[in-house]
Amino acid sequence: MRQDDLRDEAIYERTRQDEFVWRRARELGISRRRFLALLAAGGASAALGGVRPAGPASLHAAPAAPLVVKPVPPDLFYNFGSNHEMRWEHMTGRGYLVPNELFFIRNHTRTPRIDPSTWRLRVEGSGVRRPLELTYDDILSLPDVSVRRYVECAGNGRSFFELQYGRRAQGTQWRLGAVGVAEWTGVPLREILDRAGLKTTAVDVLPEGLDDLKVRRPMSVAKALEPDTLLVYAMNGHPLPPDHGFPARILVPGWIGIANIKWVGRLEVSETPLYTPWNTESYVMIGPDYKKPDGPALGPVLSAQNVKSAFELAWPAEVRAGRRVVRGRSWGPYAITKVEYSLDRGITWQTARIRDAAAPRAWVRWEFEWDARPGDYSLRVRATDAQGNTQPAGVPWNEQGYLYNAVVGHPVTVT
Amino acid sequence: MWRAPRLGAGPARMAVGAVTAGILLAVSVALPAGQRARGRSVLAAPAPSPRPVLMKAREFVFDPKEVTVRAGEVTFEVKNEGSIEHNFLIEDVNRRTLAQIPIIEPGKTEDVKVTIRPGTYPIVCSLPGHKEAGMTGTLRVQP
Repeated sequence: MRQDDLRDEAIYERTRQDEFVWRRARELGISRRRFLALLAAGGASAALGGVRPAGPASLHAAPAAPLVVKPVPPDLFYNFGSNHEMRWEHMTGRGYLVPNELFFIRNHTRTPRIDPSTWRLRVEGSGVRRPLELTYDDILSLPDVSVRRYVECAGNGRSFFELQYGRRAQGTQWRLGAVGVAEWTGVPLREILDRAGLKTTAVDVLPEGLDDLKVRRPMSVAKALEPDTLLVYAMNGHPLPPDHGFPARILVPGWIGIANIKWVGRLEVSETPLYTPWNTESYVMIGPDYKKPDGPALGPVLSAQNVKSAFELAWPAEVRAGRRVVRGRSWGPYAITKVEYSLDRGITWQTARIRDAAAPRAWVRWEFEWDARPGDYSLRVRATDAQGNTQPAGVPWNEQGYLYNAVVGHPVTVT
Repeated sequence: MWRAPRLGAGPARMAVGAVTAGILLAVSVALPAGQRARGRSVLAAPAPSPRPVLMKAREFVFDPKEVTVRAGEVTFEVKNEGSIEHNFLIEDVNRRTLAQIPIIEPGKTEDVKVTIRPGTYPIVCSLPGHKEAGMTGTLRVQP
């Protein structure tokens, strides 16, 4: 081998590999042939298969911009990469709403930066007579409403499946901080669909995001026409922050978080049912207690959320002994009418004081007094809604870890 | 004998570095630390425990995309080299999950052991949208 040949990268690479094999074989005191045989046995071929040069996709995947735009300091959020869970203790002493800087983030990939001057919302499909294209200014000039509603990841509480079943469900291991109530301002979707000439034969509306994965999940026309289903452009009185869907997102109150598509760029309205991976592969219930329905979905498709509660306490919490007020919040698709708490691991229950007027698709704040004596506690709370739904003691297993709303013991040490 | 992959021009220089690093990695897989230290005894070991298959996960690929193993008990060690969460499922043709790592946080390595029969099995990341973005692989199991 002449040194000149090593200017050719392929030759250079092969030469260095051969040198490496000779050297390792000599170090091990075995023949080169034996060393290669050893390499070939048991999985090494697979490992070698992994050294192919990185393709363009993975080269481009090198982190360039941060995953989220707003600051997500560890004292406010649990960091899961693109997902950030609110630490509940920071809701203590707040008002009804979660401020934008504390609101949880559930992103499939990174937050896209969208220029509102070039952004358009297209409304199209077999279910409309007059396809539309609306600018940001068009949206701002349409009739608007403001509503206080919660948005919650369908997997909020997922980590508790491991506590109940001893194994993890698939996905982000949230505790209970993937939920928040904000005041959302926007245009009722009905206004937009009417302007596009919604046909009476339309059945589904599919909002599609402008993020890397074009996240999209359909809803029924009936849900799209509800007065609080909105195209949102403001959150708590501020233009929608980038991480929460700027310039516009969909609000689908009471439905699981994924329905509330962020960075929406298109609404497909269809006379036939629509399917995407977000209602066939994911956000479906898969487990021994769930029967696969006919059709493309792997399991029953989720839509409505369920009743849940959380303490405004750190996890685990440490408090000083003495009389104190313990606070928290309960939420669900229907108005919360009763909240009970237990200081003795669920043996006896007392009623907590509810501080807010009961309202559907939102939460209530509650509180109770506790004369805390030193020791270790597992505080519990369970809420009941206007339909009589109460948080259960346990929930059936599902592989993707959705809708965990069982009563959870909150670890508290009193010193 | 295994030959070096042919590399084109363009981004090849980066790729060469990756290949070289990969070989170092591959060899350390073939010869776990304990055995390396014992020199010749690596050959005398009567029944070396099966070596884990190393895989990398990132946005939105598994690397390698295809893996061939012998039937029996296999451990997969999957490193998340991406910046967001991923997971790792081995499925059968009926979409039943045979083995899984339910979640791998960015930068973390997790493993799963499976006893598997000869055949071809899909590997997927089941986190929403990842499979559709190309995060799939193939496991070939030889008798």
